[in-house]
Amino acid sequence: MTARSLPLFLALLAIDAVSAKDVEQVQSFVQQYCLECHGETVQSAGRRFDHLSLSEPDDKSLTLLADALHALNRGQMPPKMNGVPRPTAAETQSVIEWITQTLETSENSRRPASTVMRRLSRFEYVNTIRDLLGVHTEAFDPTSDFPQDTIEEGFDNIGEAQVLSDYQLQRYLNVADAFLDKAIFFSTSEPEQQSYRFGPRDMADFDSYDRARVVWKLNVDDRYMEIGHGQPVERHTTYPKRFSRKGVPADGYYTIRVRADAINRLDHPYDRQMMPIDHSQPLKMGLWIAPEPRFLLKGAHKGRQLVKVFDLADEQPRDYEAKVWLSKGSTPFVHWINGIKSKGVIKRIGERYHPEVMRLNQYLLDAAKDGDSTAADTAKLLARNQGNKYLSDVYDGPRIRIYSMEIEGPTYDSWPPASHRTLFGKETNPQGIDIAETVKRFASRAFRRQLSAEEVDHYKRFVESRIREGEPRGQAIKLGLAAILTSPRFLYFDEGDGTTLGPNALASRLSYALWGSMPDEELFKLAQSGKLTDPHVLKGQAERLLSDARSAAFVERFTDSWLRLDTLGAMPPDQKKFPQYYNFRLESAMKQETRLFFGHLLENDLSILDFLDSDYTFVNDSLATHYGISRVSGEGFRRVTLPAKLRRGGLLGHASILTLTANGVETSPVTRGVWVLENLLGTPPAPPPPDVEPLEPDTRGTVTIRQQLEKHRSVTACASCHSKIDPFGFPLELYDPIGSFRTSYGERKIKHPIDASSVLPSGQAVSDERDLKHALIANKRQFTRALTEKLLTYATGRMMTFRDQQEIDRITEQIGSDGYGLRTLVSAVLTSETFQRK
Amino acid sequence: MLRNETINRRTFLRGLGGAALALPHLEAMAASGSPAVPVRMVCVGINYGFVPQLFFPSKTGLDYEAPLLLKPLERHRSDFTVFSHLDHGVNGQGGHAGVHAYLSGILSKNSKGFVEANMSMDQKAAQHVGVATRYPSMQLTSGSDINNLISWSSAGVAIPPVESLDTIFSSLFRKADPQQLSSLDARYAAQASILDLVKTDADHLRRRLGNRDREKLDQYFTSVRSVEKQLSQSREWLDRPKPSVDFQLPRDADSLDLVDRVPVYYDLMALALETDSTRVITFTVNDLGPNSGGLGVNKGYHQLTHHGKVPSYIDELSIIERFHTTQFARFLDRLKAVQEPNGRTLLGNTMALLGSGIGNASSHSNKDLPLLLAGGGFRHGEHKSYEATPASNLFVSMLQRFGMEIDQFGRSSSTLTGLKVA
Repeated sequence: MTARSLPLFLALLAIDAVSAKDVEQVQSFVQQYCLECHGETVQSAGRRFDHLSLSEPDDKSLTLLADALHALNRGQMPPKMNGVPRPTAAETQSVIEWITQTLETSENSRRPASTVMRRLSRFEYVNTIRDLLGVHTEAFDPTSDFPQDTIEEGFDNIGEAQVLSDYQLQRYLNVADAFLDKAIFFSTSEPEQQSYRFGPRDMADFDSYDRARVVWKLNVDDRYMEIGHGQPVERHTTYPKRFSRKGVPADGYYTIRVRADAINRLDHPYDRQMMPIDHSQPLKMGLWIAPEPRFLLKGAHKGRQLVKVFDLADEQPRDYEAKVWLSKGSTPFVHWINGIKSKGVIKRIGERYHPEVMRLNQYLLDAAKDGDSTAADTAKLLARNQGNKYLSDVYDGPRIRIYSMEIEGPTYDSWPPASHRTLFGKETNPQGIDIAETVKRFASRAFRRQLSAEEVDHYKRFVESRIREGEPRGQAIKLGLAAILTSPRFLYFDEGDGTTLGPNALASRLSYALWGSMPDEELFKLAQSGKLTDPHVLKGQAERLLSDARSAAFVERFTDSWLRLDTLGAMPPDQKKFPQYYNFRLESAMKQETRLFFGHLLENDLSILDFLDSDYTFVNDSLATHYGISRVSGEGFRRVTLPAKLRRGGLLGHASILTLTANGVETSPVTRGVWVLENLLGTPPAPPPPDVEPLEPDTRGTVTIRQQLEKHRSVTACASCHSKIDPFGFPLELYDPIGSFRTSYGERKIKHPIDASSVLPSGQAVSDERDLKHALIANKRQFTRALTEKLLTYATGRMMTFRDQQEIDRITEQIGSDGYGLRTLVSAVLTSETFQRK
Repeated sequence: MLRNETINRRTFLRGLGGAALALPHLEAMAASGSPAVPVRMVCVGINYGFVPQLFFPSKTGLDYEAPLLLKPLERHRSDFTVFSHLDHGVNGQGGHAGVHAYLSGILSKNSKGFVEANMSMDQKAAQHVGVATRYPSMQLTSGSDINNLISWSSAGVAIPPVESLDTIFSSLFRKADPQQLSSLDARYAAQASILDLVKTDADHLRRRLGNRDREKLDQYFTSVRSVEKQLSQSREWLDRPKPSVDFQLPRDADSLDLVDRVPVYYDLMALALETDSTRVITFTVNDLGPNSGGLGVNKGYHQLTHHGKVPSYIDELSIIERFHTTQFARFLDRLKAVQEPNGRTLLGNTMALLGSGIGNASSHSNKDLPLLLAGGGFRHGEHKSYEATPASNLFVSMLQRFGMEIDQFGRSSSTLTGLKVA
């Protein structure tokens, strides 16, 4: 036994000593209540428990214990029959707990102590392709129909859990081909840059709209396009007609400049209550990309990409500009993104303020013809208006005007574009490409290690033989590269079979942890020279990667995995009940807040305890309105100091967390309690016993969720876990399914005040979520430990086991004495022994 | 467009077995005097399930009174059976997270110990079809929800369904020109050669790895072999023209409201079966989409399923659920209208299952799944009630009817008692 493992060994002994007493109890329970029917003489259902080894359960014992747990949970055993002795509820409960714990420990001990060979997750695959080929994956990403990666406790990069299917392999083949088509520019000359200028007459198609009923989109005297209606998911988009059939002519950067302004945002004569827009927000114009013309069709919003949102100046035409990479065939379009959503609103305004312009429509005429007398009367009334002005001539409500749209491009940083240069340098003639050299360089980068000519010889021969068979040289080279992108040496991480990672594997682990992508040139070189394993060098590189913009991948993916931000919107909030979630694009704003918060802590090495409570957060105008923060205007996010009365400090104040822990319709203290236990305290509760039927909510009467849960907790099988879960959820009941603060349940008539108090398992009483946050901070060691474990899991691609506890404890202690800085913690994780072990 | 053509095509190509190529058209079969008309399978999944008391009749047997949701199906009464108290037991529990176990009976997270993971019934059937049809199976949805996918491969991977009606129509019936076909052929050939080449790297890795890592690499090898087979079979299908049908896809079909799109999915499904383009289809309905799907309800679908027993909520919810059974009834009409060479209607040769992986969305229960099986040549007309019976037993019976010689599927205990072939 080495000196290093000694303390761990002692720790294990300590655990055993504690459980020995429990084992005795369970043993006597079995003796007393089970053996009569499952013993040496009688073996009901073929099960006997007299040979159970409880102190060190083997596989057979574990299976039997799982069966027993099942029966106990359902209350089936011991059978309710005369003469059969039955245990007390408390006795049963403690045995249930012991078995649950034992099964979990055994499960944990089966986890591999080293990372099982993992493959690129979809997220990593796309990032790697971006860096390896230099292609613009933000504009072109054909991986959307990859099968979903297996998620293990929030992580999609756990080697042991990942699977590869034939379906996935097929996608790899197709996608490699598609990406290479985007990257390679053999024998093409630089497309000529064009400048297009579109006036109102050249945009979209407004002929089909009935001018009379609503202001919608109107070309006003060829001066501007007036838009009186708009929403994030817009059916009627404003695009240049020129690109409506084929899109832009070539891949490249395009500068899109739109001249626009906001009209009558505040200065309009109509009742603001009639108008469901936020008058305190600037009117905003969204710029989208339709990757193919068919996404311009009114129902095809799913494939569109929102690239930018502009705050429009009031009554002041200005140019709003964005430079974006467009794929050939895509079309940019704009629209009023925070506008009036319903046509009905404008119609009602017209009826109330401008009755003289309301027109007849076919619907009314038809109804009148069918004998509807009300319709006939209305039709008669409206007939008088036929010669009058149109509503759009007199409408004075808020709207936006688009004066022109200019598109310039394509332009390139260089020719051939960066992607082609990355692969072949400046040569665009396939005849001038050195196949051996190209294949070797590309495969070395793709496989993330320097390869010898022999190692890639089969690729070289493959390309050459295809050329000999008559395939065009450029085509054959492309196929060779596609093959490399299908190789398991690209798709999987080769971390060898040793105990400590070699420098190449270490470089990859580091760059995938922080960038979600392949190492860059500098990291490659340090791996190649072997210097990376020097602790100072490793630390320096971790610091360098963290400071690089690509570390946004870490912020994005780790918050997805740790906090389950990726599940935000998986149970979409009800569209009717929470229209603001959609109208003001709160989902993306919520995500943004949490990511900015994490990024802020990371960048400035601020205390991780800010995750538990803080006096600041990040908002834009929509989220500020959601939180009740005043005087925040505009789409951009900013750090705001929270006034004391606003209880938005820490993650538990973030609408993102409060929304993803609700189901879109209702909140549940259980779901939120489980989230706190799993993600903040690192003590996930055991899954519910499988046969307990969930409660069916009955909201007709006066029952609150608390009362329902109390009923639930009166069932023995439920009580033990729920007494640990629910207390963390009750204080968060003060937030509704999209994280709005509330003090009562129910709508309109029936209201129940919310009781946010609870008694934590420690015995501490809390009155609401503010107390809960304090309690969590008081328990900061456990939180630090939980976060450390999550970080290590993320960075290594495997679940932590009891063998890792010592290192986790060490880091926890160190961070505690170093001031709890997030950057310090991440750095400690990336230089830890656990991180560097296979 | 070429790329889309292939990608979409690949999307459908699943689980090709090793059977010999069959003739593509039933007419051809009939002409050649072959009486063997294949059995088909359609599984419709309604991801929010049905309100139990509106779906299950109170009486069992032949003379049950149809509850609200079965009323639209009354005219088909003798052609379907409704089952109660079938479910996946503890293996399918998870509330909404249990929906994906509808056709497998096994939650994906628990699938590791099983040889065929949590493979769903349709994929099992697709293995049996092999290359006999252009698409061994198709997965369709009126609105994709990545958390509620119901078709799972034997590797334990969910197969993303196709939502676009235009894509579905195109895959089935739009003909590619000769140039497209030959470039597709070259592409498949090139991909096959790539797979051959990368084995060298796989061997290289194998030598460097420990046992646990080798298991992962084995998945790679298995996938390579499987794709190789699929590629060669895809190439053979390229030479066979797609069937011509007298069907006009509505203009802007994909931007229609749900009420107008759902019938089109069913129409395309009926045509796909009639032309023997595929014999196995799954179709899922999730949320309503924009404009409340055009159903005229005021509250959200999910919100309504959380009705808390409030009558006005249940009334509104039943509008949506009745729409589902009405559309299914219309689908059965379509299948009945097609006569097949073996003297049965297309419905007589098609097992059409309507159901869900959730038993009661209001309580998030996965017990007592709503399950209704029409057609397929079974003796129908009853409401059958069971006790402690795995729903997978029904799947075994269906797979047997499909022609498979199996007596076990997922967590089944036997075939489904009392379900007999007519």
